[in-house]
Amino acid sequence: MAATNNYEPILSAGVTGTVYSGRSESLADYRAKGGYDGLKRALEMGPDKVLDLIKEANIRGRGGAGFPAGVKWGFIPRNRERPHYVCVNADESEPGTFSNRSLLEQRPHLLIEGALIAAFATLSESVYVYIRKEYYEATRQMQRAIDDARAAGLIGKGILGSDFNCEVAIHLGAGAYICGEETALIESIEGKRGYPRNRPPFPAIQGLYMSPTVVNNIETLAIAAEVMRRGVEWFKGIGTEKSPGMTVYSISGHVNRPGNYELPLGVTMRELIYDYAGGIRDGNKFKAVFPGGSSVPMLFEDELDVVMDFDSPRKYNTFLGSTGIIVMDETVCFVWASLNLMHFYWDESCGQCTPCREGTNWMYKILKRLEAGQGVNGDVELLEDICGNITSRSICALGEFATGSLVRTIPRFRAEFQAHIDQGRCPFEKGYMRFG
Amino acid sequence: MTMKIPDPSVLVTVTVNGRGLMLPKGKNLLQALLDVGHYVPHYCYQPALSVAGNCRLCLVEIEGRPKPEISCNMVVTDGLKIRTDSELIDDCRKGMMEFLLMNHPLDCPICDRGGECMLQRYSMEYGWGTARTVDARRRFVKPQFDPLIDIERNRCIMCTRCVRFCDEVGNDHVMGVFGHGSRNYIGTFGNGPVSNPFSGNVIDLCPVGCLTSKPFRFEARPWELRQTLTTPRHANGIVTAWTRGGRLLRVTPPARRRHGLYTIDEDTTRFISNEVRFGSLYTDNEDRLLEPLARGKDGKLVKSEWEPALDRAAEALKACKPGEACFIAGERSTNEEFYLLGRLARAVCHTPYIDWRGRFVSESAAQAAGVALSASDGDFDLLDKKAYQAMLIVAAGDLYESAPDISLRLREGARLKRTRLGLIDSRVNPWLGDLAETAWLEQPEKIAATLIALAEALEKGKDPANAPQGMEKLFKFVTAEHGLLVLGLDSAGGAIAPELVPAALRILRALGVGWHFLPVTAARNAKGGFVAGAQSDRVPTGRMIDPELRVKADEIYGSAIPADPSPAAPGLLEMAAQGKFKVLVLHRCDELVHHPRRELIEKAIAATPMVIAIDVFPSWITERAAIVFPGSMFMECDGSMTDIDGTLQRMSKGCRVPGNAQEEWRIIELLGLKLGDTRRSKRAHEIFADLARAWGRPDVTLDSITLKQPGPEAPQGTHNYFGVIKRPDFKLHSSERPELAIAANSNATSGRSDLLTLWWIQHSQGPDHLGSRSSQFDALRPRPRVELSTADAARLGLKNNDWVLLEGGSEQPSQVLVNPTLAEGVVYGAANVLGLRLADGAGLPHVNLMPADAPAAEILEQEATARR
Ligand SMILES: Cc1cc2nc3c(=O)[nH]c(=O)nc-3n(C[C@H](O)[C@H](O)[C@H](O)COP(=O)(O)O)c2cc1C
Ligand code: SF4
Ligand code: SF4
Ligand code: SF4
Ligand code: FES
Repeated sequence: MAATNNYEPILSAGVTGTVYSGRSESLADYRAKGGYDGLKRALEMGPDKVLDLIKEANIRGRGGAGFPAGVKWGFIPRNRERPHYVCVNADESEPGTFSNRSLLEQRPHLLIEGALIAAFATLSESVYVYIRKEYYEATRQMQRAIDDARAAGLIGKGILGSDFNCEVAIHLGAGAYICGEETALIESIEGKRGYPRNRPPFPAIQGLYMSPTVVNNIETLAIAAEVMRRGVEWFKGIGTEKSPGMTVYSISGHVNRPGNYELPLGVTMRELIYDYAGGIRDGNKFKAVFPGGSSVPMLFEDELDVVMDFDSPRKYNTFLGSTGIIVMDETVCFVWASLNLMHFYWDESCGQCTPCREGTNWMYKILKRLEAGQGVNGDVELLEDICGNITSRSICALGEFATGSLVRTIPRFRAEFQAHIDQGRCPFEKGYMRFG
Repeated sequence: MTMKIPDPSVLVTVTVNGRGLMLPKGKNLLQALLDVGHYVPHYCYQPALSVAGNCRLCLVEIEGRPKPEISCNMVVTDGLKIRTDSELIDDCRKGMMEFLLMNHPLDCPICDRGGECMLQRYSMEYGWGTARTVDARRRFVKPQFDPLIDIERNRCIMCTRCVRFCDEVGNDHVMGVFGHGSRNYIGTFGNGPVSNPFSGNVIDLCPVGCLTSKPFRFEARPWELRQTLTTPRHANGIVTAWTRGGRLLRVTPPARRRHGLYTIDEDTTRFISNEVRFGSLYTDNEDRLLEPLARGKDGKLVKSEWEPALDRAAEALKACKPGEACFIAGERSTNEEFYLLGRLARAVCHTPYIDWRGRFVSESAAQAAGVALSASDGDFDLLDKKAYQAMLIVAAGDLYESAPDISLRLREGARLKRTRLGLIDSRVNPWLGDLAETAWLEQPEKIAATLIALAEALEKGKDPANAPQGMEKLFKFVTAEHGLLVLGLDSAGGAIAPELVPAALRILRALGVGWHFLPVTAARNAKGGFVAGAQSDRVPTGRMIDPELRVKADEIYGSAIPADPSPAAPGLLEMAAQGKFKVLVLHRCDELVHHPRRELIEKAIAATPMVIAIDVFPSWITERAAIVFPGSMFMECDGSMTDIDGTLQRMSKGCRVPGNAQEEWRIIELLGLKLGDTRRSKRAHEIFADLARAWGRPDVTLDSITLKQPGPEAPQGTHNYFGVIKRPDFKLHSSERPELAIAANSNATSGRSDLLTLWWIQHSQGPDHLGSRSSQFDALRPRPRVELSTADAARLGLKNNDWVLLEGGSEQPSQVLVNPTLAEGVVYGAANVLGLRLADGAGLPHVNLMPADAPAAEILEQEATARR
C-alpha cells in the first residue's frame, strides 16, 4: 500500500460520494484550478503535436479494452474529406461500475475539455456525448456545463480566439446496455437500433454517418485533459510502466466500505479489497471477485495479489475491464450469481447474432433450472460447451461477456454446480431476488 | 454506402485448405468462394443485399488471426490463407446450427419450406443430429400482416434478409426487427402489409419457412412439382413455373439445382415483381376459353368445332380483296406469333394492314414509339457485368407502377453503384429519386423542350460553360463519356412521344457515340413486334423496309408482300371504325380490353362484318367477335419473347393445353393452311429457326436460348456456382437512328390554365386482361387515386384522401394524394384503375377536378377486406 499511500485524487478531486450530492463544479471553479488551460495549450500546439503528445503519454482506454487513445486518434485520416466525429461514451451500464457517473455529475467541465482536445487532435468539429438516460442528474449537469462553456466561448465558433470550431451535443441512450459498445453507440446516435456493427470497417474509417469517428470513454478523455495541462512526464510518473496513470475503481459487493477509489494503476486486488474497501463484511470469508465489471471472469482467493493494471490480470484470463470490482463473500452461490448475471446478459443481448442471442437464452434457461433444483446431469458440461460456442464467434464482445461468470468458475467450483443437480435444490440459503 | 466495383480481371492467389485458388482481388470472399464452387454455408449473406454478418455460419479460419472470421465480411486479398475444413470451423458450424435449432419448432411435416429449407439442409450437412436441449422452446403469437405473405415467427432465424430486401431493393422501409435479445422478431411497422411491388421476393429469400406464400400454402410439396423455366406472357424476365397436373401453383425466379434437385434459389438476384409472381396465377381462373366459338344464325356465340370455325374464318379472309383484311397482334404475342401473323397478313392475305401497337392512344404516338424502338441499342441488364457511367431516365419513372420488372432492372444498376442516375420526368418517384444524383421535374409538355435545350448546349461542346441557365447539374451529368439514355414511351398513352422521340434522338446524337439508347414501354413484346415483322414497314429482320429488304422479305415469306404503307394499330382502328375492313383479326389484344379509347375500339368492331379473335379469356371483345379461337397459357406453349433490351427469353411448354384450346402459333398456321399457305410446323422451334435465319443468326435455336439449368452443385474449380445462369451472348438490337420528324399532335401543348394535364399510366396491378384475373390480385389492386402537386392541391383546396372526380376522365371517384415531386399543373393516375375514358387520342388530355362524395362505407369496407 506504500506506493499509493499519499495519492491525491486528480480526476475525482473534490468529488464526494457515489450518489449526486448536489455539488457540481462550476466553470469558474474549474478555471480557477487551471481548467481549460490544457485546451489552450493544445490550441497553441496545433493538432499534430497534440496527437503526438497523447500518443507519447500512452493513455490506455478506460472503457474496457485498454486500447491506447493516441493510437486510436492516430487512425483518423489527417484530412477533412469527410466530417470527423468524436463520440464520448458515457453509457456506463456495466453491472458494478459507477465511476463515470460521479465524474459526469460533479466534474462535467473536465470531460468537456477532454472531448474538445480529442476533437481538436482528430480534426473534428462535432462531439456527441452519449449518456445513458437513467443518469438524469448527470445529463442535467452536463447540459448546464455545455451551456456555460458555450457562453464563455469554449464551445462553438473560434474557440478561445483560435480558428477551431467545435459543437458539443448530448445524445441520450434509451436504456440498452449494448449501446455502450462503440458501434452500437454510433448506430444509436444515427437513430437506428443499437446493433453493433461488424468490423471492418472500423469506426476510425467509417463510423458515425459513414465518417471517421473516435469513440472514447469519458474517463479516458478526462485523463487526456489532465495530461495536456500537466504534461506527459507527470502522467508517466503515476501507475506502472505499461499502464501509466490512474483510474477510478468502483468497488461494490460484500465489502465494508464500497465506493469509488481513484488510485494509480498497479495496486493489487488485495489492497483494493482489504486496505481501501475495508475488507469483507461481517467478518465473512472472501469467495470471489469480478475485477472489471460483471463481464470478465472472476478472480479467486489465491489470485488476489494480482496487480490491477491492464496486463497483469490476463495471466488469469481476466481483465481490468471497466474497473468495476464486485466482491462476493462465502454466502454467495455461484449458480445463483451466474443466473443473476445471465438474466442481465440475456435481457441485454441485442439479439443480432446467432451465438449470443440463442446462447444467452439457453444458458439462462439452464441456470434457471439448476437454481430451481431441476438440473439434469450434463447441464454443467453443457454450460461450458455453450460458453465455448459463443466466445470469439459473436459480432461484439457481449457474447463473450455473458460467459464471464462461468468460464473460470465452473472448472474451479464444479462441485458447487453439480450439487444443485445432485441435491435437487440450491444448497445455499438466500432470502432475496428471484428471476424469471 | 460506396461500393467499390472490384476489377474482376485482377486475380490473386488465395490458399483455401492448402489449395491455391485464383480469386478476383477485392471481391467479397464468400462470394468469390461460391463463384468458384467452393461452398461455404451462409444464411444472412445474399449477393444482392448488404452484408449483415449476423448468422455467423460462414466463419472461416484465417492464418495469422486468433479468432475465426466471417467470410461474408472479408474481401479477397493477395496471399490470404484460409481454412474452411478445420476442426474449429466444423465446431463453429455445429454450434451455430445447434443455436439456431434450440428454439426452432419441430414443424417440418407441416412447414411449407420443407424439402427446400436451408435449415434442414445445413442441419443434415453441418449439424449435430441430436438435440441437447430439454427446455421449452420460444413461441410467438402468429400475426397476419400481409394478404400474400404468411409469417410463422417461431421458424425465423433472424437473418434479416427480408428486412434488408425491403429496405434496399424495395425502398419500402416497412419491415423491421422488433423487440430485442432472444425475443426479437420480424414484423412490419404498424402491422401493415409489405407494400412494395416486389414484396413476394422475401418468400424466396427467407432461407427457412418463416415467410411463405399464402397462395401456395399447403398446396404441394416442392418435390411433387414439375418445373418449367419460362418467361411470363405479361412481363419481362425469366421465371420458373411450378406446376402439378397441368395446374400452375407458383412462380419464382429461376430455380437452382442442389443435390440433384431443383429448389428455390434463395441467393437469386433475379427478383421478380408481384405482378409476375402472383399475377401469373391468372392461369387458375376458371373462366377460360376452352372451345372455339362461332356466331350462329341467331346471332349468338356458341361452341364450335375447330374445322368449321377455321373454315368460316378462312372463307371470310379469302373473300377479302387485298387491303380488306386487317390484323392487330397484341403486344403480348410471342415472336413466333408475330412472325406468323406478319406472314399471314402480308404474304397470304396480301394486306399491308398489320400492326401491334394497340396500346398507344394515337397514330402519331404509335409511330413515334416504333421509331424509338428501332433506334434502341441499349441494355438494361446492369446486373450483369456491364456498367454505364451514367443513366439518364426520361419520362420513365412510372414504370415502377406500369412495368415494375423493367423498372427494377434500371434501379438495380444505380443501387449497386454500377451507374449514376439522372432523371427528367413529370413525376419523380422516390423509389428512383432517392438514388438519383440529379432529378429534373418538368411538365409533360415541356420535357421534349428540356431535352432539346440540353441537346443544343451539348452541340456546342461539353464545356460546363455551355450549360443552359439553371440546368448546370443536369448538363454536367450528361457530359459523361458513356451512358444510357432511357426513354419512357408509355405515359399518357404515348401522347408526348411525337415530340419526345425526335428530341431524344437529337440529344442522343449530341451525347456522342458513348451513349446508348433504351426506349422502354410496358408492352411485353414490343421489341419482338418489329423484329419479327408484325409491322407493315418492317420485315422479320427488324429493319425498315427498303427495296432491297423487300426482296429479302419476299424470300423469307416465299411470296411477294404488298407495297403500300399501313398505319399503326391506332390508325387501323380508326380505319376499321370507318368501315374500311371486311375482316378484323384481333390476336390476343389484351391491351385493348382496358384501353381508355374503348369507344373507338367498340366502333371498329361494330363497323367490321367479321371479327376473329384469338384469346384465352372471354372479354367484351370476344363477346362481340364472330369467331373466337381459344389459345394457351404461358406455361402451355413454346416460343420466344424479346425483353425490352433485346434479350431473347424462352417461353417453354411445361403442360399440355387443356380442353380444345391450342397453342396460338398452331391456330395461325392452321388458318394459313386453309388459305393456301404451305407452312406446317411440328414445333414452334421451326418457326423460330426461320426467324433466326432472317436475323442472320441461324446458329441460335429456341433451345439454345433456354437458360441453362444450373449445373450440379459446387463443381470444384468451375466458375459456375452462383453465376450458373449462362446464356448465349446474343441480343436483338436494331440500331438505326433515323432522322425522322413525326407529325406532332396539333393541340399537344395547348395547356389551359384552369385545367390540369392528365398524365396517366396503366397500372400493372390494376385491371388487366391477364394479371388481374389472378385471384391473388384482389389483394394487390391499387385504390383509385389521383396525385396532385403540392401547389395545385393548395390552389384547389384539396388534401390527402379527399375524394374527387376527374371531369372528362372517369365516372368513378378517386382519392387525392399530394405528391411533392409531381410537376405543377399535372394530375397523375392509373387509367385502368380509374376507368379512364378518352374520346380521342389527340395530345395530352386536360381535365377538371371536381370534389366528390366518398363511396358508400360498405363499398370501401369490401375493398379493404379484399386487400387484407
Ligand atoms: C457490450 C459492451 C458494453 C460496453 N459498454 C461500455 C460503456 O458503458 N462505457 C464505455 O466507456 N465503454 C463501453 N464499452 C466499450 C466500448 O465498446 C469502447 O471500447 C470504449 O468506449 C472505448 O473507449 P476507450 O478507448 O476510451 O476505452 C462496452 C463494450 C461492450 C462490448
Ligand atoms: S454479441 Fe450479442 S450483443 Fe453483440 S451483436 Fe451479437 S447478439 Fe448483439
Ligand atoms: S423452417 Fe425448415 S426446419 Fe423449420 S420447420 Fe420449416 S422446413 Fe422444418
Ligand atoms: S423472416 Fe426469414 S428472411 Fe426474415 S429474418 Fe426471419 S428467417 Fe430471415
Ligand atoms: S453469411 Fe456470413 S455471417 Fe451470415
